[in-house]
Amino acid sequence: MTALLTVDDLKVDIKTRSGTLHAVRGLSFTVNAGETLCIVGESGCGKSITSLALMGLLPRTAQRSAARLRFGDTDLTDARHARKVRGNDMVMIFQEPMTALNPAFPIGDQLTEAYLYHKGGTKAAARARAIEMLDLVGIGSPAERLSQFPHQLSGGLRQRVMIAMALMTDPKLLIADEPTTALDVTIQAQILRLLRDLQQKLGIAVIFITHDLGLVSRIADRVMVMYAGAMVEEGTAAEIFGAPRHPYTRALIDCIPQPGKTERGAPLGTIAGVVPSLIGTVQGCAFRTRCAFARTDCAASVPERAEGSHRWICIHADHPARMTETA
Amino acid sequence: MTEHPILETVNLHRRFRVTQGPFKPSATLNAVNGVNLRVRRGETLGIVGESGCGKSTLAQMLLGLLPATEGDVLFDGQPVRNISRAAFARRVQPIFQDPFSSLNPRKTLLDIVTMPLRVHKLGTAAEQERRARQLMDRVGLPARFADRYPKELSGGQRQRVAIARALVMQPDVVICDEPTSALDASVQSQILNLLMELKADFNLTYVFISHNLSVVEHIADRVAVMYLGRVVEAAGVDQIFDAPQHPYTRALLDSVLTVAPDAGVPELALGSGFPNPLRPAPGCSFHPRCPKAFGPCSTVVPQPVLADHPGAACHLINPPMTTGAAA
Amino acid sequence: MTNTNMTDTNQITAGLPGEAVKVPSRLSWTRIKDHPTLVIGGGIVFIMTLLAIFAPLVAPHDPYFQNIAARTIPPVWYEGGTRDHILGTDQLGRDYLSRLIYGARISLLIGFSAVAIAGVIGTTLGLLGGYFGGRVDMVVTFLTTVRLSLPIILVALAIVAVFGGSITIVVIVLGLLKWDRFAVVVRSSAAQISRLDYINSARAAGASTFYILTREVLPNLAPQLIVIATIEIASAILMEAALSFLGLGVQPPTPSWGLMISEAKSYMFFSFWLIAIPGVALATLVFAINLAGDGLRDLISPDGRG
Repeated sequence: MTALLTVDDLKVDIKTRSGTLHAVRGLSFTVNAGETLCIVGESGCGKSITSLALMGLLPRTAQRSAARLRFGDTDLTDARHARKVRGNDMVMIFQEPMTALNPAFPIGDQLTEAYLYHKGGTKAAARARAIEMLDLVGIGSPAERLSQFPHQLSGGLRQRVMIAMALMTDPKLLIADEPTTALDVTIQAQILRLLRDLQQKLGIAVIFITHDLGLVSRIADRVMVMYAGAMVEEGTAAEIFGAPRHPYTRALIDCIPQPGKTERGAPLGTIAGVVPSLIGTVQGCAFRTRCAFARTDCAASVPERAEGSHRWICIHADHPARMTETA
Repeated sequence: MTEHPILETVNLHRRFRVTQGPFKPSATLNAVNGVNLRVRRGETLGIVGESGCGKSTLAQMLLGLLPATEGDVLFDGQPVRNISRAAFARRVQPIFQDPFSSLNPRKTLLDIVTMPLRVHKLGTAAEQERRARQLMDRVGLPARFADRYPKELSGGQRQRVAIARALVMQPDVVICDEPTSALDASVQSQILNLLMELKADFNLTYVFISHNLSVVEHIADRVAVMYLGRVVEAAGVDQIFDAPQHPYTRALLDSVLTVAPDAGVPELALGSGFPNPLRPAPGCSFHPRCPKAFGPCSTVVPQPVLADHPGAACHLINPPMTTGAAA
Repeated sequence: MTNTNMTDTNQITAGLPGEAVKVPSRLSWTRIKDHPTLVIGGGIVFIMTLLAIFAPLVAPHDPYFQNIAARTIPPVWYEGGTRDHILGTDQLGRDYLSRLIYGARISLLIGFSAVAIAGVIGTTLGLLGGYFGGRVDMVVTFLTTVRLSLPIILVALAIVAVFGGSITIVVIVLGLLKWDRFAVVVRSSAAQISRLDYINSARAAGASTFYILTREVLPNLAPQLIVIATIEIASAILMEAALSFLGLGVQPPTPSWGLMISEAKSYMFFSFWLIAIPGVALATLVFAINLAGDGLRDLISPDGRG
């Protein structure tokens, strides 16, 4: 498999009044052509900042650095090269389609804008492409929709328009930041199926950012769990949900009520304490203050462990609970 | 046997006039359209449904914040409109969804929690403070937080403050309107555990409104499913989740993404067109999306679900012509 | 990890670009001194207020005492100036510094009182309109529109012309006319706040409308109110000066900056300082109040600008 996106030691620092906030602390991963990588974590773990950093859309107070940031043959750390890729081969959709679409313009204008910028050609060609894409995402009578404004569409339709807009330039990588969080569950299921079908048809790779573990388990080829700006565990969906190695991953899964597994009305798993502040230097495992299996040497540097495609960063060679179970 | 349900709605309606533009006639929105529910003392009644189904309007009416257009809310057998505002407030209290807007940013936590006591002039200032500190301790807020402001707290901590405020007058019923929807999974499980503990400690009755079916399944004793202002199915939690009758309940359950790495995204047989609540379909308002719709569904409104009788408002279960006399 | 107390539940979770937590009602000196405009503007206003309050102690002479023998003495830095009259004397031989100090009393008194009246009217109307909406709001909007259609200076001229000029009349006229900005801003903020769940919580707790408006809504409007008040005070002071200049405000021999400018206008070409000194004082005060208002807005605004 060829790596479409290679990220090596990605860091994002944000200047605040009380010091530098290390929002992303040395993230390394790859995305292969056509696969779905889910980045999952709770708010503040740096997953959304990561997506903005990849797209080069960080706010000015944030500073990005990376040992390597490559999209195919393009070096994304070079702003001039990145501009040709962004919104063209590499596109993004956001959580709230109502704010991501400009209310003052009909959706037709917004659909064709990036296409005309990157691909050129006539307006009529762009329009034809827009109609084709709206049809592809399952919007009926697409030609008439072009003149409609965002507020005339329902939430589910708006998200479909966002997806159509993302697909206009025939991208190779789609970054989706919580695209279904604002939607109802029945609409969410439909949008997710649509994304999956399009991905298979067009061979697009997807980075899907979400906090919803159930959703991740259903759509991911690979999962990366983030905590406090860093990766704690990465593996296939089966590995992450079937045999989580990192105490945080396992604790997070135990927090959600799982029909059929969790007894109704029984206390749910919890994680004590709160996410640490990321201002100032962070050493050792950031999860150790909340971890039931923490040892004193967790404060020193913690090794990255691997078993095939399954990677995790922990002092323990396997999840401590599992070690006692199997012993 | 003769004991009244603690909270009951009888043929409850709420209509809103919606202006559609300067030159268009205003439309009527049936936000709550003939709801019969009974909440028994000591139980948790879950109310689920998608956005626009009327569950939040129902919550406002159960709290006495919104008058009924038609029908009644009964508290302990008494119509709420015959009970003084103050007396009702001491028995029924809310917990809202957004912990960021439910606390006054300019007040200390102690002020926020003692507010209901001050409004009702219960006890001296010292007694009010003692009571508030006691409750803050019970919900897991450190004593040193008393003089802090909401801004200094995380979402989970804010929700604990809202819970302490709701319980400070020792109410019988707490209306929880999406109390964990804005929280991360690890915080959600803490709050759910706390709510379950407090219910046992204080003999509370909950009305738990949520769009998250896994959470409702975990916490509720009985569940009502709402669609476009109507209760389409109501029954015990086991029956709803293990043997749903109404096609909508089934679709809703199917679209829940539980942790199941191999299951993929469910295929829903629902039509994609989300209904316009201003122009609901005639007959059963779900029929345009229903995979099992047949003749009478588009013309005859199904028998509403009666309070205290598990059942579904569906022609498949109660055939229209010979009501209740299925061979 | 260098964070010693990571378990401290007060740690802000690393979320969005973190701004240090700001608490609205604790305005510490460390934060104030980050806003030089507030320090400078506020300092000037503070000093002028002190001078006005302690005028009898500070002023070197009786501001009403006329000495025909010592008319239009120039300030001390001009040729012919004397140390006895640092800012010289006016056309009737009254000590100009003393009149300036007493004049500050009038300016500040009228500015603050008129805006206090206007603030009460505007805030009440705005709160009612914003909180209740519907018909109440229509009435408030109508009243505001009516008020905005009246040119203040012309109405003030007419009323003062009928009832005669006095401090009381000027205060009442300005107070009854300058509430529009309060009403407009308070109305929109109150409408926004009324939809928040902490208002619903207070309603569900059985709180009266009066309690909700005064204890839950109003404290959240404090920043806007302070800012509007500073703008309006500055404008009321200018208006008083304008009315007095036109002879329709404070009547002689009361010292008022506007009146001093008016009285000095016939001497403009012979004794330039007579018009320049109160003019500079007026400009400084108004400038300082606006500066302080800007600073306060930056200090209090929730997005932590500046």
